[in-house]
Amino acid sequence: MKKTTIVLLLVLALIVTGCSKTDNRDTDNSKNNLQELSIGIANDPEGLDPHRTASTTTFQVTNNIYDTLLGVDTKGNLKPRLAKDWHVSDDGLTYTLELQENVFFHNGREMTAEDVKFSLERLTDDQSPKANDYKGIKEIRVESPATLVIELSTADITFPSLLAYPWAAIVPAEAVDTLKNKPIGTGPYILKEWIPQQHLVLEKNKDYFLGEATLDKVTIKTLPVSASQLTSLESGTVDVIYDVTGEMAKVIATKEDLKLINAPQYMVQVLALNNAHPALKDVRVRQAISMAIDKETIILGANDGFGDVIGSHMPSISPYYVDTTSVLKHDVERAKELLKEAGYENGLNLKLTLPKQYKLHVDSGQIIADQLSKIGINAEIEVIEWASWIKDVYTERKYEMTVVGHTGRLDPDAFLNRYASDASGNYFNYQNSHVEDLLVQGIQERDEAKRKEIYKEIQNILAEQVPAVYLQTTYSLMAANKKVQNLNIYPIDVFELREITIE
Amino acid sequence: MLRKNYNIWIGLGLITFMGSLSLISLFYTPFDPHAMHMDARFLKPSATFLLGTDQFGRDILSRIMAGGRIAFLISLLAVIFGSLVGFLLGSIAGLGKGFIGQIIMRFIDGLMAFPGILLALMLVTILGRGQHSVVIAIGVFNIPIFARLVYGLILGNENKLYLKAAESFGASKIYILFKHMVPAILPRFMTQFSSSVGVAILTESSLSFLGLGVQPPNPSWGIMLSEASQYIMTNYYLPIVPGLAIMLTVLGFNLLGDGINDMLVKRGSEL
Repeated sequence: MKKTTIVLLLVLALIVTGCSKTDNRDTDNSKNNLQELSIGIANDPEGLDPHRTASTTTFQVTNNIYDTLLGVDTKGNLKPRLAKDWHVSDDGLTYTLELQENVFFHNGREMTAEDVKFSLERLTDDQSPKANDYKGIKEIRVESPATLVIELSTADITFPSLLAYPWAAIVPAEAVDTLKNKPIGTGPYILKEWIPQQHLVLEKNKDYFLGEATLDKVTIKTLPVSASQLTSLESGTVDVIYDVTGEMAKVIATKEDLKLINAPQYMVQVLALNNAHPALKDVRVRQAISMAIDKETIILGANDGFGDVIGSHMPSISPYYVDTTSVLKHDVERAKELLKEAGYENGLNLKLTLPKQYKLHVDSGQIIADQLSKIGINAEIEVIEWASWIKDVYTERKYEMTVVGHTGRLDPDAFLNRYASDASGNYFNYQNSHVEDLLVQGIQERDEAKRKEIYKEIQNILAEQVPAVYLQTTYSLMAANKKVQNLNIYPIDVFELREITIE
Repeated sequence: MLRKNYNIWIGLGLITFMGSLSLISLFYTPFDPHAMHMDARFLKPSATFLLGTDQFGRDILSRIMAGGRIAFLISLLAVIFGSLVGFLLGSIAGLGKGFIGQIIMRFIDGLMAFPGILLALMLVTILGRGQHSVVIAIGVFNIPIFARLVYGLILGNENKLYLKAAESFGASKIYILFKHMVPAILPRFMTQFSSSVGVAILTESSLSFLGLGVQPPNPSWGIMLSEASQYIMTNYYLPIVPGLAIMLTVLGFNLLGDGINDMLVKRGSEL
């Protein structure tokens, strides 16, 4: 009988845990005049050294402690930050950066071009996870305390955007050994306290060179379970939560004192196809798969409608985006015909590998499998760990179909250069020499209008040849208390706490 | 005496109910358990969808039925496999004694030392995901339970006079095993079998819940529970159905096991 009782209790516990409320409200907020804000995040930062991590949650915190040379606005346009101006030489090989003067690190020392040189070199050393993105840098020279020259080995018009990502942060040389736990930057906030797995307290930097922030104190709390994030927000324990799911959004919409903030992300969700597979090698099979898929239904079913349909590998909010959604419209009958022409009228078995950690991709995959079954393709689903996905699918390319998202980059080249035959990110095994030529032209063309034409052509080719089926650009969803203002969503997954105000 | 043994009747009733739902699913389910109805997501129970629909608009009743089929099939196969191997190892060790018996039983003790679910997790990781691996994994963690049981019962019975008598008549070990030991062991064996199936169903659900067992979109109660738990904030109703299905079935097998045990103990005392 003992086992029976345990089973009963377990089931009960499962049902009850989701419903419990936290009742420890923060009541001291309004008692003094200090402007305070509390934010709930899903994952604890893994250390606050921006050159030694690849974790998005970590960058969301570090971006407020450190500065980068360039910044971005909410539309993804570059703007001055530590560099007040930048020029490129006519051959596209030399970039000259004019730095802001009178900028001080949190330890009181003035920042100079030497620090910038040191930081960029540290970003490109062999311990830096992002080093590969910066391998085009040939030499960094300090011309004067406020002038820095960067020489590239090949012309690359996309280079300035690389200076705006949160990992390209400027750090003081003397503090690098302890940055992981005691971050020192030039940013608008200073780390006051960090208790791992619990919370992290930031206080404003009164001497910030772009003007001090409105909020005096920001507490970032780790709330790993999405249900507890929502209850914490409802009870007022936190004022803002990131990583809101479509399901939570529905609940938030019904609460009067809460609001939902959403905007399309710089993200492309794809059903990647292994173009080296004997059946998927045939463009007709790939087109049939694309036409069998109803993207609207996927967005509704896997993401509660928070996404834009796309037709090629470019997020819908990019200035380079071209609408290719009508190239291969959803048409089950035509898809069947194409499959028949290709010789698969009796059906086709394909494996669909999905990364377990990403509920969005796993759910999308299940809907895709259902849709493909209608044209006679039997998609056998296999859900695997992220680490195995990286190894088997992305690195070794041992897969047939998979669903995944490509995120967080500004320049169109950063999205599209994986279609070059020898690119390490070309896990589609896609080969097209014309696309390759266009990609090379793209990073050398300095005329904006001509550049747009180049990327338009690539997008059209991809939409028609379907190395992958392009599903959606998802929305970034955040929820906040109504009193929180100016909470902006940025295309590169950063948050500017400095801009936030409280009514 | 049997009439007052409520455990056995409630247990049998629950198993028959869940079992027949699963059996019927071989021929008929109200809807295709895989068919998605995107315009009918998260529906509460209604005349069309008797137990409502899930996040993809799939009929929950159909999925519970089809999931039950998978749960029963995997658990029965696994426990049959585990109990047969366990019986074999236990009887070799019990009758053979000596060196081989010692080796077998120390090996069994080693297996015993692993918590069941951990052993199953390890095996599934080695063998790869999917239903075959789950059968083998659950089967293997049942081997030591049955081997120990059979070994213990053989040792406990071997000094009985009728066995001594059979031996003195020159009966072979195999003859003694099947003619005398099996009937003596069988009742306790069946008790263990019944509760093992209950545990196996729970383990299959746990492995599928963790994503290591049955793979989506195949309906498994564990997968249904894991998917539903993500929607608990907005659709508290969703996890209750697979949760109840697991609970009732496991409860049924445990009650049946207890019932058989009670019955035997009583019969034993009357003899």
